[in-house]
Parts: sequence; structure tokens; C-alpha cells
Amino acid sequence: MDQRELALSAFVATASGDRQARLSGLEKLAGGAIQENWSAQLTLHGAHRPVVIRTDAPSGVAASRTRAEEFHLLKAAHGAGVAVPEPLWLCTDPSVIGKAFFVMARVAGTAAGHQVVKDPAWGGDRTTLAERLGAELARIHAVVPPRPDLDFLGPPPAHAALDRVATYRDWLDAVGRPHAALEWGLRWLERLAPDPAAPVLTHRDYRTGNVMLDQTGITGVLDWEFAAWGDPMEDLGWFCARCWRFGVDGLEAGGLGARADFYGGYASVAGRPVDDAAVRYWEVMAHVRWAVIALQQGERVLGGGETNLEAALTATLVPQLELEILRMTKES
Amino acid sequence: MRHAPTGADLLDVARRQMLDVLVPALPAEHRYAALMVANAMAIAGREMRNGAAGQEEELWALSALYGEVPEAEPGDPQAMAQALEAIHRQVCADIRAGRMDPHRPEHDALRATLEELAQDRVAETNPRYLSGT
Repeated sequence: MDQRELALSAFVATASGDRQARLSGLEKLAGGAIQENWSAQLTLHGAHRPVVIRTDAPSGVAASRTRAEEFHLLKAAHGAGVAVPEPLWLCTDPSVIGKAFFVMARVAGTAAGHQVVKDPAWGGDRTTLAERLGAELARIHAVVPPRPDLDFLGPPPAHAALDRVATYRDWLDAVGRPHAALEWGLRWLERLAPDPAAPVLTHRDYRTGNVMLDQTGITGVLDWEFAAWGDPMEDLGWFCARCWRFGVDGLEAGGLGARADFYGGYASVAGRPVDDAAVRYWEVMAHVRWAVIALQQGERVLGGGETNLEAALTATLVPQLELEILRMTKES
Repeated sequence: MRHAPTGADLLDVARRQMLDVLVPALPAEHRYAALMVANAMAIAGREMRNGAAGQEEELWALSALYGEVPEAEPGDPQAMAQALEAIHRQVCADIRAGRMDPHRPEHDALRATLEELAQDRVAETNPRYLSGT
């Protein structure tokens, strides 16, 4: 057992109250520019359980949420009955492994977007899956302010849609080059912003690619680092937006299922029907948001001389996002 | 003068070599990176083939919205780029200020023009996207 495993085991023994508890078989998982994930085996009260240890990546890229905040978000979601990897223990003491980390259950399956849309073996029956995806989202939205455990989220925006428009305009201005199609989309979003909804916990990256699936259904909703108080329809729009269907455009619920089934699953938990017009509004917002983020990715390559082909190619998605925005905002 | 094969031809041949010979020989963990390289080469090749012709059309189309005829000489790429940037900034400022809202006569024409320009760009960056719609 190496130093790190000894330190982690000592932490888990204290945190769990089981003096025999230990973490072993640490293995670094692929991916993650901002976070670093390690798989490990937890031995607790004599039983074994696969877990993930999540911590910051050494690159120190400014993340939107700290690991501690992410842990509290997972706790809140888990408490609301959302399918998430069960959060176990948080350690903010840097003396254990040199940085904050938390331990969560390891869920089985895959999240990879291109893979799950192509292979129907993932996620089980697609009607049931689309309903489940809607239902999980409605459970997230059942978390509402005030929540002292989530006070790091700050006060809810007075008008989520207009708040987003202002933010994306700022981001666009920071990029510096004129993008008429995105201005067009932002002006449309500003003019036609729906009345503000009562704020709920929104995931803000709920889409195919961030939901772990196994052969029978959903095993865990991942990537909580963008979560914020907001308009619930923003999450439905992000999920249904064409740019997140991974090429399977006919299945409007994330390339995985029918929009009607997704709405139906959401309504069954939320207790009210989904306002389709509101979702379509937020789909335009989704394309604008993704386009501005893609531009920022391109800037990393142009500005800093960083050789990151993936970021450079992400920026080449902007024209198709713009095309979609212009088509969706055709009036009369 | 340059003789064939042109830069765009070379990119095409290099890309085929990459996909047909190198990609199958690569270990699985490097295949994604190689496919990204091939994609970047394809986009660059399409842009080279289109040259600057699209820029000229773009400048004319946007100027027409304002009832203007562009002054930049087509033969002067730098003046062309400057004129294009200037008119884009004008369009952006007008949209943001509400001067292109539906009550304005230019509204529909601007949206249609921007859609055509976006379509031309997608034809370079991802032509398959167009066949799917």
C-alpha cells in the first residue's frame, strides 16, 4: 500500500467510524482537464464497494465549483432522490493528499454520447429511458431555495433568461470579434424572454454525455459543476437542443428518445405539464451558450499559442450552431 | 507560378494516407487524435479551395442591407478584411440596439442573409450537417 492509500485509508477510517475501513487499488481514470478521478476499492465493515475519489487536476484550470461545493450539490441531489453516485465523505484538509477531495460511489456503465446514441443496448428500452430522463430532471428541480447547505450558489437571479443573455453578451464581447448570428440570437432571446419562473436547482449541463447509462437504464447523473438556481425550462432546453443529439437528430430528447416521452416523464414527477414553447425558447439559448463557449475554446488556441486540436475543432462547430439559431428564430 | 498539385490537393492526399494507412495502424487510444487531424485537414482543404471569393460576396450582401455598394477593391485582401470586419461590427451594433427588430424593414432580409452566410461557412466546416437537414 502506497503513502496515498495509507493517508486515504486513515481518513476513511475516521470519517466512517469503522477503524478497519480502507481504500485500496487506486487507479487514475481517463479524461478530466479540471478534475482528476481515481477509482478505488472501499472496504467498509468488511464489505467491498467500488468508489471514485474526485479531486482537482494539477493544471489548476479555474473551475466554476470547488470539490466541496460539488459534494454538497451531490448530497442535495441524492437527498432529493436523483440517481447520482452516492456522495460518501468530503475532505477539505489539504494535509491528507495535498488538496481537497471527496469519495463517492462508483456507478457502472458509460456516459459517452456518441456511443449511447448509436448502440440501443445502452439505457434499456428507449421509451422508458426518455421518461426516466425527464423524471430525474424533475427530481433535481424539486430542490428549491432557500437552502443553507447550498448557500454558495448565491441568490437566485431575478430573471434567469435575461441574466443569461447579459452573461453571454459579456462573454461574446470578451472574445472581441463580431458574431452577427449570435447577436441576432441574443436579441431574439432578450425580446422574447418568458416571464421569470420560480427558481429551482438547475443542473445546467444535463444532456446526453453527462448521464451514465447501463444496459437497463440510468445509473447516475454526472458533472454538477455548472449547477445554479435558475429556470427549470433551461435544463429541458439544453437536453433537447439539436446540438446535443450527437447526430441522431430524429430523436429530439438528446438523440435517445422521443420528446413527448421525455416531457411525459418530467410532468409525471413535476405534477404539471411541460410548456413546449418555453423549452423551444431555451433551445435557442442552448445553442447561443454552446456557441459562445466554443468560441472561447478557439480563443485558447489562437490567443495563448496552446496546441489543443480538440479546442480548435470545437470552435469550428460555431457556424452550424449559428445556422441553427437563425433557423429557429425565423418569425412570421 | 505554383504548379499542381496545389496545397489543397496535397492536403487531400495526405488526409487519405492518414485515414487509409496510419489510422488503422495506430493503437486505439491515439485513433481519436488522428481522426481529429484528418478532420482539421479536410476543413482547411475546403477553405483553400473556396479562397477569398466568399468574402467578397459576404461584403456585398451585408452592404446591400444598408443600400450601399462596398468601396473596398476585391484585389486588396487587407482592405477587404477591414471592410468586412467594419460592416460586421455595424450589423452587430444595430442588432443589439434593436435597430433590426421585426418592425424594421431590414429584419427579414438580415436574418435570411445571415442564414445564407452561415450555410456557406457550414459547407466548409461540416458539409454533412447540411445534408442532414
